[in-house]
Amino acid sequence: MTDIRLKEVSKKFGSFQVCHSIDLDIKAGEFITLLGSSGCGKTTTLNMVAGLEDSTSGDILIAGRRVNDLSPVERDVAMVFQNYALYPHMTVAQNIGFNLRCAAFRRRSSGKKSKSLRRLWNSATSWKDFQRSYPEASNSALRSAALWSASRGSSYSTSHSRILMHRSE
Amino acid sequence: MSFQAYRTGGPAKRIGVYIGLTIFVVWSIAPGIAIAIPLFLLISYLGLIDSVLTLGVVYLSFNLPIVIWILRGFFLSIPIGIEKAAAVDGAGPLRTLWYVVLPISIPPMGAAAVFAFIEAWNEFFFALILTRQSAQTVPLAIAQFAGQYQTVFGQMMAAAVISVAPVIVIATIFRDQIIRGFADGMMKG
Repeated sequence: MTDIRLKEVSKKFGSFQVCHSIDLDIKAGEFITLLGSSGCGKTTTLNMVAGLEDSTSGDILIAGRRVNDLSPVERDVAMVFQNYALYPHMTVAQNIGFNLRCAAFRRRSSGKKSKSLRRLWNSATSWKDFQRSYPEASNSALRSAALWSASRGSSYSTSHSRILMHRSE
Repeated sequence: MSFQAYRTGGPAKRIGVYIGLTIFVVWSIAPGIAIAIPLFLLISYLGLIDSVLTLGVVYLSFNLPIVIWILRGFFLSIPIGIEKAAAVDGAGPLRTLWYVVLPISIPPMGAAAVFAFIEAWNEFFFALILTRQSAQTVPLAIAQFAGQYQTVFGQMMAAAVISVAPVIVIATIFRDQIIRGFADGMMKG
């Protein structure tokens, strides 16, 4: 975990200003809640931190590094989405491991020797955390069935456990 | 086709997208006879009469609007969060399209493919004016049972039944995908 800092971050959609010069300092391990009425810019702020929206002005720093121009993956952040945003055609295991798969692609395209997905998967300490937290995911049904018709509970736990994998890279 | 529909279904609703889609719709509602003569002259001028490839390109252009319309409707119904989740996972736009969007788009793509196949398979008028012998389609072959002095109804009916078989087989096999695809794709404008 690292510090996150927002310095006078603003966001405009056309002429409509959503975020007005936000200053926020979040220490590593600190638990922060953004509260506000609908449409006040809570999700937009999170999207800007994650790199899913560009800020109109201001600086976003993660671990002391300015990340405004970096892609989401270069920022090394994880995010749980409001509607879970799971990949419905993939199994629970594939959903959780998709970022490892993308990491393997990136290693391959950057010329580094690629670890196999299985080795990456097994070496991820967070996978052990995940198994401890969600023992039902070891169930073979969850490993073999796609999420098209998964229950809300399974979707919820999968979306939360997916972010644990981001620590493995 | 699917990539073009995917791009038009993105979050950025530019006016150009709507102009393009309007042109597609106008193109699809225009009666075939309205473009038959210029199309025939163009293809004759290019020396492409009686070619399977020509017929394929013509049918592609006829089916493209409805296929894009079906797929666009579906792509608009995909939660934008899925694409954002893929971006956070480290997938670029093309990898997101290939590993995330396309696999969940198989039902509407199947529906669109079956629809386009049926349209092209049953088309008669343009096949009649754009082909001679080597690129004749099944409906044209069936029509030849009607001669100047007599019509061989028995053989014509037998050929018609055989020509319907591929459509029935494909529609039966992909019935669920077609229903799901049209339901997903058509419900969202």
